[in-house]
Amino acid sequence: MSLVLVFAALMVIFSKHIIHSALYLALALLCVAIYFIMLKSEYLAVVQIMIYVGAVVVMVLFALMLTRTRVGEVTNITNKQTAVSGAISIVLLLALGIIIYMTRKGFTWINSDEIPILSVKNLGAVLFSKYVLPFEVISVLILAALIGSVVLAMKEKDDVKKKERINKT
Amino acid sequence: MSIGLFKILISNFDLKLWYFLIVSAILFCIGIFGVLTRRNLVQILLSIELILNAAMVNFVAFSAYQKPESQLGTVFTIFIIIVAACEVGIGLAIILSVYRKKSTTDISKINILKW
Repeated sequence: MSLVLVFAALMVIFSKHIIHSALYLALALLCVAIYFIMLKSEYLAVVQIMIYVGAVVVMVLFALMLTRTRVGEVTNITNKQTAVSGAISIVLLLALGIIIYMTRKGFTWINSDEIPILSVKNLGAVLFSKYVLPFEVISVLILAALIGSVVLAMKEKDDVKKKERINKT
Repeated sequence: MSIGLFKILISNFDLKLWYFLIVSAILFCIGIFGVLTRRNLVQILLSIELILNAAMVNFVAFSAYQKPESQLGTVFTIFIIIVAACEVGIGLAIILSVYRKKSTTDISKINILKW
């Protein structure tokens, strides 16, 4: 399972065509959803598949289509920092691995077969009693993101007028 | 049905917490590497998605192994998913408007802030 996830994540980075990497991102997100099922939070797995695999990947593919990235075209070029950033990420991975390995006994309070399966009803009760203020704030954030993306993606009127003037002359 | 699936997945071998932590650390480092090296804007956005997914796995794993009845990890992960979806929408809109101005998505060619 983790091998599939790591392979998909590496292919997101290293595949030559950017459309392939978007599709490998969908595979990696599906693997993360399976991890959520292994951690016994089914609701999160469903949300992950619906929002990430359903919406985010489709949105990325639409953006690729609108920026006219052709399927055969190799667009996935690296810059000159590959060696430095590879060293940085490998050192970071080693440090994280050593820390996790050293403290592996400290933070497990229960075993994996003692994790209870909690219902969505329970989650809704928690979400609307204790965390109701963050919930409202995030709804305002969604509204702002919606309006902002529409405004950003809208064609500017001045550009259209300029183009028309150029075409006439 | 789902409980049977859980038993197949979990009870055969005792999963430890550090397994999930190692996997999310690997995912995070791959995402960092992608953000630092790629030149296409959309590719950088995909790598940021990988980093956010690593954070989500970490949150859910810690919550499940320490205090599963508080549901804190689930709530936090829902918020992360919402923020990530907003970020992707805004980011793709910015990429589209940049593409309209400069007709490229290569960040080494977008240098209007440089002099």
